This record gives sequence, C-alpha cells and structure tokens, in this order.
Amino acid sequence: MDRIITLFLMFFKIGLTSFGGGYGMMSMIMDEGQRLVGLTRTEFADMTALDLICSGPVAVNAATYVGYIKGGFWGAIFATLGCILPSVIICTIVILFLNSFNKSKIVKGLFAGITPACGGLLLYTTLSLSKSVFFNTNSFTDMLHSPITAAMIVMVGITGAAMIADLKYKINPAFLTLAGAILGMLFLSK
Amino acid sequence: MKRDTLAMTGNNIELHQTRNKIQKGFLLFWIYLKSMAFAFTGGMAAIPLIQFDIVKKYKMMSDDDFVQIIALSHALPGIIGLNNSILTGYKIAGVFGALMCSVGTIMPAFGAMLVVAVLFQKLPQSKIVKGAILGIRAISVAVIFDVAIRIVNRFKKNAFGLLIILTAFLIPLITGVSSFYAILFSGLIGIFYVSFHNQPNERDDTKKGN
Repeated sequence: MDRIITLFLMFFKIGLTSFGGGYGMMSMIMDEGQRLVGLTRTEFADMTALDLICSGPVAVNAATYVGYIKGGFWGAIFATLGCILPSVIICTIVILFLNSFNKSKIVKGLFAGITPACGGLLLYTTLSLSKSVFFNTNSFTDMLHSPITAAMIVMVGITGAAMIADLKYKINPAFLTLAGAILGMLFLSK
Repeated sequence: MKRDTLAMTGNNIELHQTRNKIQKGFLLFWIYLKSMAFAFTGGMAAIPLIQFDIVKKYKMMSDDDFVQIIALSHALPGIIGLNNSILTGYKIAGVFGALMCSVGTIMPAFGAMLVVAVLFQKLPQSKIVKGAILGIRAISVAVIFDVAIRIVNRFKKNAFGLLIILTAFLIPLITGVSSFYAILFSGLIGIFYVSFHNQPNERDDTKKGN
C-alpha cells in the first residue's frame, strides 16, 4: 500500500515538472525511481526500449511499466493516474484563465529554462545508462577498471548504428527496437 | 425531428453540426482511441491523424484553433498528447468531451504497456531471450542520446540555452542530486533571464495591446 502511494506521488511530481514531452521526463524517472522505489538502471533501459514498441504517449507507457514492475496491477493504475493528474489540473487552470496565461512572463521564463535543461539531463542520462548497459557497473571508477569484452564491443556497435539510423535516416524507433532484439539474439546470446 | 430533416436534406457538414455534445464526445473518443493506438513513437505522432479527422473529416473545429491548441499543449507541463486531448475535447464538447478524449488517449497506451510488461516479466530466461534484451538495451541508449542531441540542436545559436544544457548536465554528474533540482534550478534561472533580458520588447507589446 505504501509502495502504491509512493508510485502515485512520484509520477505526480514527474508529470508536474516535465516540460517538452515524455522524453524530457526520462532522467527524472531514472533518478526518482532509483531513489524511491529501487528502479535499477537496467530496468530503466528495458522500459525505454519497450516504450518504443507500445503505442500512445511515452509518459503513460513509462508510468504503467514502472508501476507494474514495482507495485503490480494496482501500482500500474495509480502510477498512470499520478502522471496524468498534473495535465488535468493544469489544463483546467488554463481553460479558466487562458488569456492571462499567454502573456505571463513567469510561464515564458520557466519554459525558456526547463527546455534546454531537459537536453542536458538527457545527456547525463545517456552517460549513466551506458555505464550500466555496457559495463554493468554502478560507478564511473568501476567503469574505467572493468575489462573490455566482445559483448561490450557488439553492444556499442549496435548503439552506434542505431544512433546513425535514427538521426540521419530517421528510421522509426519501433523498427530499431526490433532490429536490436534480433541482433542481440544473433550475437549476444552466450 | 428537426435534426432528422436536416440530416436528410443537408450535406455532410450540416449533418455533423447537428450532433449533440454526447454524440460529439463519443465520436472524439473513437478518433483519439484509433489515432493513439497507432502512435508508436509517442503521443505527438498521433496529432496529424487527429487533426485530419477533427478539422477536415468531421469539421468540428477550425484549423487555426487546432494549431493554437497544439502550440499551447507544448508549452504546458505534463503530457503533451494528453494536454492536447483535454483542450480539444473541452473546446468541442465541454467537460464530457475532455473526459472522453482523455480516456481515448490513455487507454491504448496503458493497455499495450501492461500487456508488454506482463509478457516481458514472464519470458523464459533462456540465453536467446537474454541476448535479445541486451540488444534492446543497447538501442535504448541510442534513442535517449538522439533525443538529447535534437534538443541541443534546437539551442545551437542560443548561448543562454547552451549554458543551461551544460549546467543541467553537470549538476547531477558532479553533486549526485536528483534531476528534479536541476529542473527547478533551470526554471528559476529562466524566469530571471526572461524578466531581465526581454524587458524592452515586452513593454512595447503591452503598450500596443492596451
């Protein structure tokens, strides 16, 4: 029961402070998830990839997944409710005060600061995610001391290829996830 | 009675305008449900489909109004796709419309992810499955990085934006605090920046407005 309330509050907080869409929340889901419900980095990586093969808003997908693995079916329900509630509250306020909202300098300022911050936080998320996905370690010093294995090189190769395919050729990320699964079956199962 | 005669004699537009709020609500639910069910890369992927149905096919809203709502839902905190559906639904069919749109938006995402989560936990832990999971994890690093790069690209020529990006990257890396504080800090800096930097322009705008 405590766990379900924690999930609800955690996703409420994440929904309230996220500007610029679901991917902007990713770094917060990783940090807060780790701190409050013990979400590991590999679980977070699974969530990110599974988001891509599920339809609908990424934030709802993420809340459902984390809620389910950390709190079962009711965890999934309440985490999802927590992440949609801020949208409902804020849209109600906007509908009531639409005109003054458009002119507000505070709103413009918040937006101007938080959008680039999401970019910086996602770079940090990439770094700490690659640390646990490629090296399977929890600190940066362990990462420097861990030996380089063949699987590691294959995974870095898959990541690099996916980055280029996504940025340069704009391939649908859902196909990239499927390709990653197939390449993993072929080269990483040992 | 009046509605029936209109429907028989009128063209499509008149027919759709005669729908009452409840009928509009259910129509909106269906539009959002089917569009969101095929939006695999997030809620924004569904917006063009929804725009086509609402503006062109059923003529429930003007194109300008819809574009304004898209911009507004981007600027608000929360889930962009859901902000869009609440604002659109409210404008067309009041509170009931907003409710039906929200349910249509959330249901496919929740349902699909729940099924995937259950299956993913129940998968046999064979070597092949483990290999596939490692491959999927490698892809997720690439996808997150690409989203970051797209945001950085948007601020390429904006020194303030680049400074915030660097700060938000370094705060959790060096101090180890949660990203929540980095977001809070950047938002406050943004408020200061906008209120000092844009002051002359803002004053001109308000004068014109008055």
